[in-house]
Amino acid sequence: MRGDGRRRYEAEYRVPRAPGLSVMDVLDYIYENLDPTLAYFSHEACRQTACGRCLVRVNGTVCLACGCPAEGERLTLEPWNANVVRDLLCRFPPAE
Amino acid sequence: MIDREMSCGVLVVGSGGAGLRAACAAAEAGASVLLATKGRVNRSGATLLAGANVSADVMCDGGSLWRMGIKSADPNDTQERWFSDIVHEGFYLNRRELVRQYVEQAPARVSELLQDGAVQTSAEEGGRQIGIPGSAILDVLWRRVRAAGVRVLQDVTLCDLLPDGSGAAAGALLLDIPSGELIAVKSGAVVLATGGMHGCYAFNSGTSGLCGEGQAAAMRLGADMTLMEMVTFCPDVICAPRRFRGNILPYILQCIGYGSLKNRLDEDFLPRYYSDSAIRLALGSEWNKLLLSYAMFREAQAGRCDEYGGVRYTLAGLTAAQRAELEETLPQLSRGIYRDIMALHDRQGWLSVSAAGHYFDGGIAVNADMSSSVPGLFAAGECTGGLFGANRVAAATTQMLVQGAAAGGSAAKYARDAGARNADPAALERACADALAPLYAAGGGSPRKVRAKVIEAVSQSAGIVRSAQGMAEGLRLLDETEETAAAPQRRERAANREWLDALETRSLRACGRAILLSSLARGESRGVFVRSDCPATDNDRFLCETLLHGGEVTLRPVEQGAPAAAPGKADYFEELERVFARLSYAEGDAANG
Ligand SMILES: Cc1cc2nc3c(=O)[nH]c(=O)nc-3n(C[C@H](O)[C@H](O)[C@H](O)COP(=O)(O)OP(=O)(O)OC[C@H]3O[C@@H](n4cnc5c(N)ncnc54)[C@H](O)[C@@H]3O)c2cc1C
Ligand code: FES
Repeated sequence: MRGDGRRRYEAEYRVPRAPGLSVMDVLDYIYENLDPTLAYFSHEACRQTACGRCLVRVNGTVCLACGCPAEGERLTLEPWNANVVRDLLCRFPPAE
Repeated sequence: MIDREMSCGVLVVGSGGAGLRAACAAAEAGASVLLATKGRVNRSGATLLAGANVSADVMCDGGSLWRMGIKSADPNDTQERWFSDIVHEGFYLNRRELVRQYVEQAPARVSELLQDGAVQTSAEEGGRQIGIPGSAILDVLWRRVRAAGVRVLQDVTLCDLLPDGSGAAAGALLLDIPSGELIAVKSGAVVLATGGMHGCYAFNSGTSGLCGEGQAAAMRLGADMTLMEMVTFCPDVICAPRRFRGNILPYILQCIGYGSLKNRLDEDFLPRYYSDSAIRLALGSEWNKLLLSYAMFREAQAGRCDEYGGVRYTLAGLTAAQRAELEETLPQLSRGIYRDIMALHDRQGWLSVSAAGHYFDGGIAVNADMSSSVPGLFAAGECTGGLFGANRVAAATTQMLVQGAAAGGSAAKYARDAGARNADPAALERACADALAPLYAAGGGSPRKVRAKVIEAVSQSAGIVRSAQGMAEGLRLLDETEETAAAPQRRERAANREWLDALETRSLRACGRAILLSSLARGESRGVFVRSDCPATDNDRFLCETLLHGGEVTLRPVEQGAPAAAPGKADYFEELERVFARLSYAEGDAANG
């Protein structure tokens, strides 16, 4: 699911399967090889399920992209909340 | 060109342990503080991952720890002994005023952490340390920062520091990553706490935002840098599969005494390189970083690594009782990502591990009040250099706490005297133009590709073992990347990762150059710094720091005294053994640790 808060559209990518990939690895692959305009949380990512910032909805369930194994034929990735900045990057609540 | 303006007494950039500690120190000293950070304020930086966020060592001399009620501490240990060990460990390049401050302030910083409720792990940490997960340190500091009324900006990146008309630091230009807005902050003083330069290395253990942007901005403002050539690698970092790449769990397990290493041929490879006493240090103390990384590098060169470039870390030698004890000590191993890593280990019988760029001993040159060579600019934590000289064995967690507190206090005082000043308009305009330049570049390849080339050049030429020839080639490749045309495909400002890549690349390149130039100036091998073409440690010529200013490196003698280096020039490994023999824990704790 791509686009900003107002315009939304679906995009489909083919990513080579490999054992031991996370959803975040899949997003990195798309960014690095297929579409450099893809937005998702990446600017200060721990990649170890420690910062809690890389939330994304994977096949309908909200999870951390870096902790979620990329499994199955097809992954449907959507923003985890309605407050979308762009593509899969959502606004985070202010620090509390 | 500016979208927003803000003003404060003290601007703190970065919110790892150093930034949070500096922010509350400055606020508690009465300054109005703005804390600007790239990620989530209480969950970012190397601090978050310290001890794999399972158990990070936090250090203080054993005697003081004992008096705080830590029963595993060594009551006979003293600050003098610790000071002396740190100077030996640093191969006599430490800025001794920083070591003195570190040793003297550590008890206050550690005891406040415990009083404020940081929960200790039950990992057996030995005579001078306790274990606390990285996130628990952040939680305690964040509570204090909030109580002190600090304003926070998250998801912003430092583009440049801004000087006033006299060249003193008077604020910064920030980019709000989600919106793409440029924010000009005017301040009385700035504290940089942006952590290490992990992004310079293709394989590193840090979070993705640690790209040396604080160091690069400080260099552009004219700050002196010191010992930029000193890079510590962490040996047992998972290199495959990708999902776990960069995780240092095996290293943490090894630090507390579990697991062993074999090469692809199932050989114990350490005896090939080290004496028995060095192997005991390699396996039983934090000397493991230097000793194991080097051995792993050599194994890789000799073709004795697996298809991922790693050696094998295994817990297979543990008895069932030892394994149960490990799981009891670290209950996190049965949850989340660590459960998955342990399951992979048990399925394969090993984890593929290799040495990753991990800790940056060099950085912004500071005095004990944490002032840099630029008035109004202070720095704390891993973005500074000099405390640990040529090799860090003592805790960086303690460094960030001690230096953060000192920097916050000094910056508040400076800001009170100097007041918030206006940035030089020409400098502000230049900073904005530089920040926006990638968006208006004519086109060409992807900034991502240029970034990858920069990282490749630094990783290849400034790795564990370096040579003049390799480094000259590294510098040439870095120059080449500067000539490569590249521009983001999308030109809008909001959430534009390619733009961010281009900005980070500028800093990675500047830091890479600084590492290489400083490395070339040091014609010897010492501590974590090893040159294949200069294999001796030369105490006659190089008891000096490499001071980098405006792209030029000068060698400046480092204050000596007791303990003193042995004079003369010795083979690198002989010097290692000579230093080992002088450590207070040489054949005691380390042998059993
Ligand atoms: C995996 C790992 C494990 C470790 N384990 C231990 C251990 O067990 N014991 C120990 O003593 N040390 C350990 N270290 C080292 C220690 O954690 C660090 O040296 C220390 O935490 C650094 O603290 P810091 O506050 O200086 O920097 P960091 O914690 O790295 O914080 C840097 C901050 O600056 C922010 N930042 C970066 N760039 C920008 C920018 N351009 N604009 C705005 N903000 C920015 C970051 O987001 C972050 O908030 C470990 C390091 C790693 C990577
Ligand atoms: S990147 Fe930090 S939790 Fe996923």
